Amino acid sequence: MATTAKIRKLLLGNEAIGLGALHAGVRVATGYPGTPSTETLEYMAQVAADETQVQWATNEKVALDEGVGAALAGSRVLVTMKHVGLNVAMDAWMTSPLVGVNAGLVVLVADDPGMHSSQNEQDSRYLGRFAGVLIFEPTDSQECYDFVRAAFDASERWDSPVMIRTTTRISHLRAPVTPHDPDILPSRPFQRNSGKYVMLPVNARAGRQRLLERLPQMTDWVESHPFNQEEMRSTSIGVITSGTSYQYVRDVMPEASVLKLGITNPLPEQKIRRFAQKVERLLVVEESEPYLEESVRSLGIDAQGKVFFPRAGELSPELVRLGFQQAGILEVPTSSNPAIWPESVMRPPVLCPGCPHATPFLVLREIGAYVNGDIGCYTLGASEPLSAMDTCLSMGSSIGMAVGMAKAGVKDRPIVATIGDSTFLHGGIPAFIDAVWNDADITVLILDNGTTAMTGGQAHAGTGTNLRSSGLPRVDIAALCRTMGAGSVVVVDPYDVGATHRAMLGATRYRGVSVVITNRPCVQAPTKLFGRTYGVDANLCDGCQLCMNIGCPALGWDLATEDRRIALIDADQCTGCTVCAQICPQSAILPVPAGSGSRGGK
Amino acid sequence: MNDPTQIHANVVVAGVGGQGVVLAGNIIADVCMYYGLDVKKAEVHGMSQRGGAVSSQVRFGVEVHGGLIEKGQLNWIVGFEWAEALRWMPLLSPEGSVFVSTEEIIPPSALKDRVSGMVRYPLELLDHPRVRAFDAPALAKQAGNVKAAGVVLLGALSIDLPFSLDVWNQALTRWVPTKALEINLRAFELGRRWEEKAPVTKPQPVPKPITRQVWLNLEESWCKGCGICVNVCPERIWTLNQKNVVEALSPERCTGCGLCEKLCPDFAIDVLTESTIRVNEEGGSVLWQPN
Ligand SMILES: Cc1ncc(C[n+]2csc(CCOP(=O)(O)OP(=O)(O)O)c2C)c(N)n1
Ligand code: SF4
Ligand code: SF4
Repeated sequence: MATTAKIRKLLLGNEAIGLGALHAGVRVATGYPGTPSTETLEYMAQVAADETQVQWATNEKVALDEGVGAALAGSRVLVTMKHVGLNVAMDAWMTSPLVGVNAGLVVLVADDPGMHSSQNEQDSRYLGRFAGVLIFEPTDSQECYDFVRAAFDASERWDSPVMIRTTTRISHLRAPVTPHDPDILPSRPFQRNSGKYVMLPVNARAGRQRLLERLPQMTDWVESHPFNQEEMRSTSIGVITSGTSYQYVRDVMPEASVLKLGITNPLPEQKIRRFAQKVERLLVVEESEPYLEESVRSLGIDAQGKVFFPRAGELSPELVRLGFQQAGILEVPTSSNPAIWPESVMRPPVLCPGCPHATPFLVLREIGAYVNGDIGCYTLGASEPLSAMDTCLSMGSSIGMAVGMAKAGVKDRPIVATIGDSTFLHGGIPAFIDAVWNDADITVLILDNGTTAMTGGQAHAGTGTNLRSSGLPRVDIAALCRTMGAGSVVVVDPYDVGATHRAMLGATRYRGVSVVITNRPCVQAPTKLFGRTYGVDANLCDGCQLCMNIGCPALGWDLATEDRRIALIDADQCTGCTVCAQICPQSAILPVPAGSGSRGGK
Repeated sequence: MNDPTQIHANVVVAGVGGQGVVLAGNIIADVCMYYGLDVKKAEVHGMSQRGGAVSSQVRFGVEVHGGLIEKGQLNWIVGFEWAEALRWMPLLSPEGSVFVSTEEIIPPSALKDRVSGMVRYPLELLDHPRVRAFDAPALAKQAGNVKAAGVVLLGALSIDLPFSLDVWNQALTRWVPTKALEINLRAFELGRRWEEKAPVTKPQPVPKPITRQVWLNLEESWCKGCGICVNVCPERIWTLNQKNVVEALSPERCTGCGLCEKLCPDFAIDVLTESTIRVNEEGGSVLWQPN
């Protein structure tokens, strides 16, 4: 093991889960990237022993299938995904508890309340309860480490997958962790058992029976489990809470008694009843849905929660304090004069300087197509100034939505689906085949930047690499599209504005499924790319600001002038993609002579 | 506040994606761990790292719970960028103070008003006794690389905290890549002496709105309703009316970029600015002119 035990380490919650899984003897770890879950596998890939398999899968469903397969074959497995990833894996997820595991199978599902980087903020605890599996909810990095180890034991004990549910503030909290010695595990070789592992109705009925029998036993086990901890302090207020909310309650109301739930499915009903009896007033503090609150109330216990603590967005110490104030538990301070500070600016995420996604959206805007977008960096093509996206739903939805639009009879403008390479391989392929099969008149623009950029530049099936390997076979996306039956497939350089324009025009005029694939790599990952810096000739620039339409962060204005705003290029940021130079009507944007540009002050 | 094993404080490192905000927070947390303190640090990962606002909230003390700092309890802001430091100032405790770089990174969305050419960005530096703004990149350049500006600011912060220089240097050694270590140690040292070392920052002149004259001429009878101008106009001022002829919806937003004129296949649009040609009133209907 490349890691040393017994030293306090400063780890992200996600990293602690990865380390805990390794110390629990995990031999296979897989998942699909997605904020806030991504760092777990990345960290494991760095620190795991050589023989441990740590790899990205094409999507969350494939990852979970691989997890079940590896678990049945006798390896402890960790599968990681973000909350919406579990929706993709849902089919396997719901049936896996009926099949069972043999060796432990733990699934990290990281929720994103507040939608820092997500398309929704669903509360995955409902999906854990729906499947009838144990849910562990750690409150900091040390617990992430400890809980994941306990989760593997529990998975084997109950012959069922176990969910570790975190939220952004747990996954991305960095805190000290003291690791323990790694577990030594007995071997659990694969034993053929088709009556249990083949989900024919007759076997599935038996599996369902096993699930229903184990639920009450699991509940008994949870009743006395130390992860559900009663912390008695003042008895006037009792709070039932879990996850990051527990920490806010401790910060804001250190005197309150707390029932801290580390296992939130099944719930320890007796423990909850006993706690409720010991306190005069009972509150439930939890992020997003009233999952615990409804459960407590369904026991006939009087408890309040969402009337004081918001259901939308994430909680914060301020919101928890406000909730306690509204509940009349904390006093509202008499207003002192708060200092007034000047307001800051909005700083929404933007495409990087030289991002290969900029030109395609500039062109789409010009063509005036209806653009069904998808999820990735290129979703930023929806924001100013590109503003060239009409819809975006969930990963892989763009192609299906375009087919739907075409079938609804939209004819006044071309219908385009834009989809990233990773997203295409994740969930775009079935919809693509459907488009060909049902003869939809659409154009699919595949923005192939050779990486999964939005989540930090992970490998995918088209990169020929994975977390711990290179030189792997790579999917040829153009050949794949032809094989699937697309009539017209064109590969174009998105740094060539004219060529991109011609390619898109040609494709949108084609009747049937046409494909345009862009082929420039992301400038951030896997390698930071930059070429010769460009600059603006102040004598030639007439301040028309056409270049500003790219939204390149390296382009700004010279604020010192009075009659026009001459464009300025920040030499430290410019990557030399030449796109602005190509569209400048005055040809005022030129390469900076070698030696005079600055680059990172070197 | 003077016993490093008993201190309880909250620090925010704030900046823009790519400035090294996460690393700086780790260095602070590492120093705290040395003194046996409990540390919780909330980091920003994900979408904001694409040029958005990024921060590390570091809370340390004998016992700390959540990673988020409550309003009114923030003791120090280390701002790698001016507007990002401003964003956190409303959270400062009454005694809280700020070390901030005078570097300004103006986001593209702040350059939206192209007609007036004004920026939506707080360009003026705040004159406040608890805000200590200085040119950190200049000191970093002196140390050997502008990219060490964040470490310069950490050096400045270290003067206010009761931790020893040795422990800071050990933490830097652990977190900074070996080939950049020497420069960063130098940058840290310059940061500790910023008051004597940093160049005096001159207040920037506040920009005035530009006055620009634009005339749009449309020859309606030449327009065949192809809609090219509707699609290309950056400000989206054109629309096709019921007669299938273009019409300017919001001509006052025209910046005079001339793109519609250049791309109109029928020469139906003239965009005239002072710097191009005189107005040709004959034959064209003048849709809009300032005042
Ligand atoms: C179901 C689901 N899984 C994962 C994610 C997280 N996620 C958002 S964008 C993205 C990557 C997109 O990569 P790609 O399509 O190649 O576009 P790029 O960011 O490289 O432009 C991922 C994995 C998600 N939003 N939904
Ligand atoms: S990370 Fe890559 S794909 Fe994403 S905006 Fe930057 S250059 Fe574009
Ligand atoms: S060449 Fe122009 S568009 Fe490309 S990165 Fe440089 S400033 Fe931005």
